[in-house]
Amino acid sequence: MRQAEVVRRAHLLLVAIMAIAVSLSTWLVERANAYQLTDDLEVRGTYKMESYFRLPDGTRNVFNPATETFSREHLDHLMSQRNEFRLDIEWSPKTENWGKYMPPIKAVAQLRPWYDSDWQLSSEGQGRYQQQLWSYWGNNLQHPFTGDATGNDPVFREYYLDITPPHFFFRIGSQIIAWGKSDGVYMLDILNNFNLRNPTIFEEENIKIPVWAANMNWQPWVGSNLQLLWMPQWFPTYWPGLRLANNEPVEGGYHDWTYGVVGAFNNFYNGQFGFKVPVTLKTPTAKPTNWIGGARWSDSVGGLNYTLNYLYTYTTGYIDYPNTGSFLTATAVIREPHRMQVIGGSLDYDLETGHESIDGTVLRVESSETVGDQYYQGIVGNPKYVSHWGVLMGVDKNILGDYLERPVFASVQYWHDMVTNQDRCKNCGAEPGKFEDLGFTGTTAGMRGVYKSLMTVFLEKNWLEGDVVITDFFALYEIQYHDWWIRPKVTYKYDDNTTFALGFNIFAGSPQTPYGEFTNNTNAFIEIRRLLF
Amino acid sequence: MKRLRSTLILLLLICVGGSSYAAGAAPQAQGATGAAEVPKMIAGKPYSITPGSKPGTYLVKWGDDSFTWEAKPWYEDTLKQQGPAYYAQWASGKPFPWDTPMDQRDKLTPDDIMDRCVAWTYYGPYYKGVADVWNNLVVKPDGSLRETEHFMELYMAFVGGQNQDYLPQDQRAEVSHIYLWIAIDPEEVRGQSGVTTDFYKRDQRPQDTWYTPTVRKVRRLAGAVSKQFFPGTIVRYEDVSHVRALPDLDYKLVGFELYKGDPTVHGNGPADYPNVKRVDGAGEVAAILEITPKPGVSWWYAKRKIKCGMESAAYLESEEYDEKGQAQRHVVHAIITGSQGKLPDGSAAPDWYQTWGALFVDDKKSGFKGDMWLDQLQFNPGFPTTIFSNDTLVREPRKLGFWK
Repeated sequence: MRQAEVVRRAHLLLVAIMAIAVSLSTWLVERANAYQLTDDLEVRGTYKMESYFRLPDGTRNVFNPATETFSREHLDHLMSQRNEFRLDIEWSPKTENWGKYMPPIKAVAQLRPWYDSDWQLSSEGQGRYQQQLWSYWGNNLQHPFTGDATGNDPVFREYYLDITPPHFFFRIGSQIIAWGKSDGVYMLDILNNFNLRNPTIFEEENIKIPVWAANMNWQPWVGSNLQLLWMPQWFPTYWPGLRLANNEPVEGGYHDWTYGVVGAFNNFYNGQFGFKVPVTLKTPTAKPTNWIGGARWSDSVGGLNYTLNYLYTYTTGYIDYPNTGSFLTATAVIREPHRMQVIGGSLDYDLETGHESIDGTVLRVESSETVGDQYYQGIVGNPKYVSHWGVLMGVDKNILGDYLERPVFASVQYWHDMVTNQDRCKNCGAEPGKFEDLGFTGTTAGMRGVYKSLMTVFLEKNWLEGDVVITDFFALYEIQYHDWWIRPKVTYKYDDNTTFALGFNIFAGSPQTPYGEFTNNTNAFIEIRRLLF
Repeated sequence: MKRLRSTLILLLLICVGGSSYAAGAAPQAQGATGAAEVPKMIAGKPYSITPGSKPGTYLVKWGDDSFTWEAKPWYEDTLKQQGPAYYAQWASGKPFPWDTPMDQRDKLTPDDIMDRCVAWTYYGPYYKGVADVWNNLVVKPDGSLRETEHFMELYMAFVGGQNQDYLPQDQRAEVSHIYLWIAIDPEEVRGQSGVTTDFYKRDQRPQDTWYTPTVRKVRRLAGAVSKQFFPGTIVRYEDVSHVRALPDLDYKLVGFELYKGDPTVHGNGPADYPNVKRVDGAGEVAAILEITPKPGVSWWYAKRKIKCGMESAAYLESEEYDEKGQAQRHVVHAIITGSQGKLPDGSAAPDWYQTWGALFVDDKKSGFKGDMWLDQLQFNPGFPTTIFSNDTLVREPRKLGFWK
């Protein structure tokens, strides 16, 4: 106990030192302002703090693998207090001096050490589980090069080389590559999987997991682009509760953002039914047969911008396969991804009809057929082959322009996912035609059918001279589940180097729905961002 | 020896005086392309420039009006040397938008004057693209700085069939000019970028794409409303990118004046940004356009007066008023000429080239000021033909010259 107190004090001291260091570097910036080290080399440092505070006063059921029993515990209010230092280094040498035929190059490296002091400041809820959660969710300083074994949130994130001869663009290295025209819906845009430490974060560059890739582009004529991608290593979507130790899930359902289905499977593996089920992780290595490849063609015809996409990849996350073919009889589980293909396209079009109310409206469509995905089928949840068809339709328009000097940007999206082909499961128990969804914890209320759809609304408005106040509002409603996520936010640009933000994530819905499961996670959050140098 | 030195000084003074007199007697602008004769008639009235009573000053007369021209500290060197005769370089012998003879310019339609005055000053069709850095300041009423932003700008005009290889085949008859911007700082907007495509059809809104580094995606933006504020500034889309005569507004040519560049107006004062070298048009005759919203159209002003140089064909100044006739805004525009820009071989571009230059905005309602100007100007920078594309934005270029 005494030792734990010493550790806690040491961590508090560490946080204080970090705060002092940040303040000091801020002062240094104002003295030096020397980020442009040379004409070719630029170095920038940014500090970012984000803190999430739970608003409801709730409790939760937690399974203890040691006693193989559930207990009820009080949730804490501090969900996260993350401090991040981001260092961007860019080197753009004058290659024209190297030789007549040398193309322009740019080398980029991004370092992002971070430290979440939640476990030093809180002793309830997830704060009680420092031993299980700290090594991965507390900071990435313990594994600066790899984050953890999957390398998904390391100190060294993106590092790549850009080479741009005329009509070509090559980006080689660890990078983020975005496809598609959707906001917050991912059908084509699955080249980088996600770190779901907090699924409410909008800034995808902070939660997408960079991939090692050769990103090769050719522009055969004006407005067109052929992109070929080679990715030797698969990086999985990483979610709270995924980690294993000695073939057992080590994080249970302790993390605040553990999906219901993850917690349920972890409890099962950890002995909820009186026996433990060991899990073995199999991650594809970088050998040629495991490579990922993609191609995208984009062009414009008659004002319509379109892309055609193809990706040969793996499922976005690991799939748990029972060794007997059914979780009813399983004695062990193999956790590995499954090969799949994505074929699709996207387009956008700006309407010009001569009618003021319609002109300036942008239509966006994205669609894909995903072949070879795996959904957990029936109440038993055996993983089975599916192909599914996704469609997103979005409409964007600036509204109230006649009444406001700074009008409101409005965006409405409709998305559906429809299973078009599936393996029929005979040993999946009740509801074999349905699939376990993110909020599933054991009953059919957490299952989706062949068809699943949702709608989103996003509104944004700037205020005051120089647009120094930005307000936005996001709402998501799932049509079959009837659950909600609402997210208002206000951002204030204090000066050129400093930004403050305050926002809320409000969840509503029944406990086994993808967003309703987080009703107790309804929170207020603050963000501070400061350019240091 | 002393007598010899006195004689030499006297001879020198006679030479200087004589040449000033000669210049006054037959004013000519010694532009980079040779001498240009000062027009004798502008908008139906006689126009003349003679040396002023003090050295370095000129007396400019237009009809009954007159003005004593004196160099301001921030004038470009050639303007300082030549005085108001400098503007004559745009009076004849230059391509569109100066292709109309001086005696015909007052007969141009108001819409055409507006287009030449703003759009084709900002987007010169006579060069093969421009790259520069846009400095944007937002200044609080107390004079302190609220925001400082820097953007890279790359742009090109296609009027008159220019630069067609930069357009897809199916857009060549439709697109008038393209503008690409990339935010350099502050950090909040760094890496954001966009492409605006503008069309010949007056009633067709410009189309915008926008790249956001936080999601690494290029989005097509919903059509901006011309009267709304341009993000991060206190100017509006109609001041920046929607710069041709707009279908929502009526344009009338209501008269002409001898433009004097009132030094009490923000942006015209001798102490206003002395390091930003520029040309203000003081001493040339300006056409005055009156712009009002069409019936049924709601606009941010009830009336706008914009002044366009008859020789330079450039936007010089504008004032906006509400329904009660109260001033809402006062804008001074200054030209930054080719002399401050570089050609690919490193030499200075021709002096007669124009760019959007500098804007000084005095928002009377809020008391804020918006001051912006360009620098690091490059003409004909050797853009690859595919540069005005979303793929350029995805690369997150950081410095001018990234295309080389």
